[in-house]
Amino acid sequence: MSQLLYILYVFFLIYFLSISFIYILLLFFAFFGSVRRLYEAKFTDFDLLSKSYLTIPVSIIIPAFNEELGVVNAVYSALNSIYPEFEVIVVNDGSTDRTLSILKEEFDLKIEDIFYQRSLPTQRVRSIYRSDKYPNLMLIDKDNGGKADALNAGVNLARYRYIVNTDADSIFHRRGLLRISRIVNTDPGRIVAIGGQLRIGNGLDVEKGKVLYKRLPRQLVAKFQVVEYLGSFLGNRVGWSELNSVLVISGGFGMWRKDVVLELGGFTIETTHEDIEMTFRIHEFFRRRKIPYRILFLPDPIVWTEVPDTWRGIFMQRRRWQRVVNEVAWRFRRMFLNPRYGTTGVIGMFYLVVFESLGPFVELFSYVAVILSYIFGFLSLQLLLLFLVVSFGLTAVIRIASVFIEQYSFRTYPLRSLPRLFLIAFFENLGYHQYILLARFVAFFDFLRRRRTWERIERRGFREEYQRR
Amino acid sequence: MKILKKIKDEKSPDNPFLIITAVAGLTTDSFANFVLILALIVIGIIVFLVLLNVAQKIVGNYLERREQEMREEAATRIRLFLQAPNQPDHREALRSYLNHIDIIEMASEALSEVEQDKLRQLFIEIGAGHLLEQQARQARRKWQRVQALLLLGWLGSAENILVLKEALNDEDSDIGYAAAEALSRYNSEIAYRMLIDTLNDENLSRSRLAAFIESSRFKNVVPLLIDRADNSKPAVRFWIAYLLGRTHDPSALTLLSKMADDDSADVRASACEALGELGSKKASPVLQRKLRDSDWPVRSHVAKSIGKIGDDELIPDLLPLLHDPHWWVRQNVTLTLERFGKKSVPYLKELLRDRDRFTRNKAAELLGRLGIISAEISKLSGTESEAGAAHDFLVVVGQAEALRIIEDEALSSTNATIQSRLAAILGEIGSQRSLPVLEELHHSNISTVRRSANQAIERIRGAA
Repeated sequence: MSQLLYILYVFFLIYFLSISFIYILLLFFAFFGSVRRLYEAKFTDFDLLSKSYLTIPVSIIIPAFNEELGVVNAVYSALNSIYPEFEVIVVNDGSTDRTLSILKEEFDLKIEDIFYQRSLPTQRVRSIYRSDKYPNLMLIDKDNGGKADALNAGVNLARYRYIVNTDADSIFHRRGLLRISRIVNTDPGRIVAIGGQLRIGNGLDVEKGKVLYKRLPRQLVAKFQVVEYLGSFLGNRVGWSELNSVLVISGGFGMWRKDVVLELGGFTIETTHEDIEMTFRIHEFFRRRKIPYRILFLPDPIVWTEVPDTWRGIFMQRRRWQRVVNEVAWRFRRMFLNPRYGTTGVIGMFYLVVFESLGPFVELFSYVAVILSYIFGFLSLQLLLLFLVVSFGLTAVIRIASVFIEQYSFRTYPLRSLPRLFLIAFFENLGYHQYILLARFVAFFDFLRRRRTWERIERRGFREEYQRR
Repeated sequence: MKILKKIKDEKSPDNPFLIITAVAGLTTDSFANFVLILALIVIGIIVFLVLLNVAQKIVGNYLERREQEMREEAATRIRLFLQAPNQPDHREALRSYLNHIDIIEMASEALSEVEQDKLRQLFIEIGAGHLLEQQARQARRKWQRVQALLLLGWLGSAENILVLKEALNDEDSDIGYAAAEALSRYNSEIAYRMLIDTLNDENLSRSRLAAFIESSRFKNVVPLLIDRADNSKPAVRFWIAYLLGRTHDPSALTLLSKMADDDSADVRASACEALGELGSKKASPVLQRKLRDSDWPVRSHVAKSIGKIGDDELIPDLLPLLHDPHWWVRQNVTLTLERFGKKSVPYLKELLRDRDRFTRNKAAELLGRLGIISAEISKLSGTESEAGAAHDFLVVVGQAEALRIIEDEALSSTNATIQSRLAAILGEIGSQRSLPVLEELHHSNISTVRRSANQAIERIRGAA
């Protein structure tokens, strides 16, 4: 039995080492990618880009379902973008709160009989509004059909070649769109989708969509996510982008070529989240037909987003995210280790299945096995502690390295925030990480039960004038 | 516990698992040692990364502060130099920035063109061009080369133009773009010619190059563009036509009119778009003819351009394109009609009765956007004849499926006469979709509105 346990330990160790090796490799790619983008941005004439007739116009789509707390700021922040030509389309997805009335009042929205091409099927559109204050702001009021359905309604109305999807609780950086289109403009024929960094906005002071003051969030759960987001968005996704195998363009911010979205039949309502599914569908479509394409993920911070700040909220969110991972892994299983799909099939899908989909099982099992081994005397305290040091330490290495990339490239947080970020990186593994693992573990059973629900996560909105009124 | 004891006893030399662990080189002790070493390595990396982070932050902050100070100091020295350009002390003070021309460039951003020219002249005299040329050719790091090229653009010296020409053809596109951007900062015919010729390059994005060409400081560009308009590559001709349009120079009209008949549909579309950019009604005959082009992208750009030149006499020619099979053509026609504003209203009113649903819808949409429908609704409270005419108009609008404005107004209006007449209109239009609105009006406090809504509901249900 003890030999069996030792083999298990070896297995766990190899598993942890290989996942850490992949993360560290991605971090290296991400570091060099970030530095390259940093220099590119440094020597880009943003002034020219912001005025040029040739900067690709975009349609920003903001789906909103019961988002009365954050939607006004989100819309203002999109409208405040420094960009030559763009439109903002808010889609009220059958909200039952004051989302519609607040927007109508704030932006002077008037009903307009716009007859748009219903290229993608959606739930019934009740009315279309246009703002008297901002001619490039429109609102679609429709029956509830979920985020993907709302996005499809927005795509139907969108006029421009590229569409941007974002959330109604996100705040755009003023130059966010320019930073993205700087890359798109170099190769609009091949770049079909592009994502950017989401930074955590809990704790920001925001007024009419403008960020007045940046600070780390107050709640511990949100603080953990600051470091976690740096790891997954900056470390992980930028790394994948260098391999042209971005696994997900986040629903928080993504720019898609409209013709490709239409060609693929729009965002699907068959999976819980539409973003990762669409990313994989694009990979599959282009790789199968051997059409050159690129899906990129930029290290540049593009939007601030509000994350759950309660333990219950984060549990529900991660459970849902993991369910989507499982759904996508199953839906695109034919790509698994299939050389026809290039790096996405061989490396990307392998990573998704082995480390993302099955990861929670192996990790939780390893914790349970190691602790039980210690309790029943098969493992010395010394070895148990060493195991934990290696396992926790490797995660901390990845997190701190991500903080380094952020500091080197964008310097978002001041020096005094660094000790706190390090502490968060260390302590993330003492409870938070395992809690998230549990949520991910439970998600597997949700997937088996084909659960599709999207639980409501309580929003607080950004701190600003609007709410004090 | 007995079972556990039994499991513990299994640890004998004959146990097959031992063979596996032995093959892997992992006996109990060596395994523990291995984990220990690993843990130490991990701790070491963490300590290293933490120190690296802190060091990077401190050094980064210092460098940022230092750069800011240097910029402020440079701005002071530049000010002194501009006050007395011939004073040797002031010239000497700026000479120390020979290796930091980027600081000078940044510090000079707020200066006028004349002042910047004086500054550039000084740096050319003290050999900045030569130094930057060396960096642009020999720097080990690519981004240093990029920076040197961009600074050469700021300097704008004719002597350095060759190095930029070389860089345009560099294998690395970042170097090529930097050279193109630098050339666009030259106020020189030669630089402009080089830029146009770069459009032949297949490795660089032509749209990005066109953006640089368009932003060039050199202004007398039309003859140079005309000179290159017979390029054999359609993609180049496309961008030449685009650039000619962006000059807004009427002297490009003849050539663009000719290009509107190019073999390539892309070039024709670009030329038609450019004719619109010129904003001259002299382009009307060409645009009128091209409305019947066999390729839809051309028709779509023509529709847009007619709006830009503002020739309302072409509205009747534009209207048949509302039936075009291509959405973008129809869309651009409606945008142009909107641009013509009130002038297109009579035509739009006629189109409300068109046989094509899209055309009816679009006409109603535009009338709504132009404020005509709201104006007609307000006439419902006017004289009998006014109200009667408005009534008939709104029925036609509603039959074109533009019900929302009428319904919205019926619910939100504070005028009881308007509300009741709108209810009657909704009844006459007879759409089932209006029933929820009419039901709501049916609960109004005002008896005339209630009655009117009730009659409308009965009429719709009766018809169903």
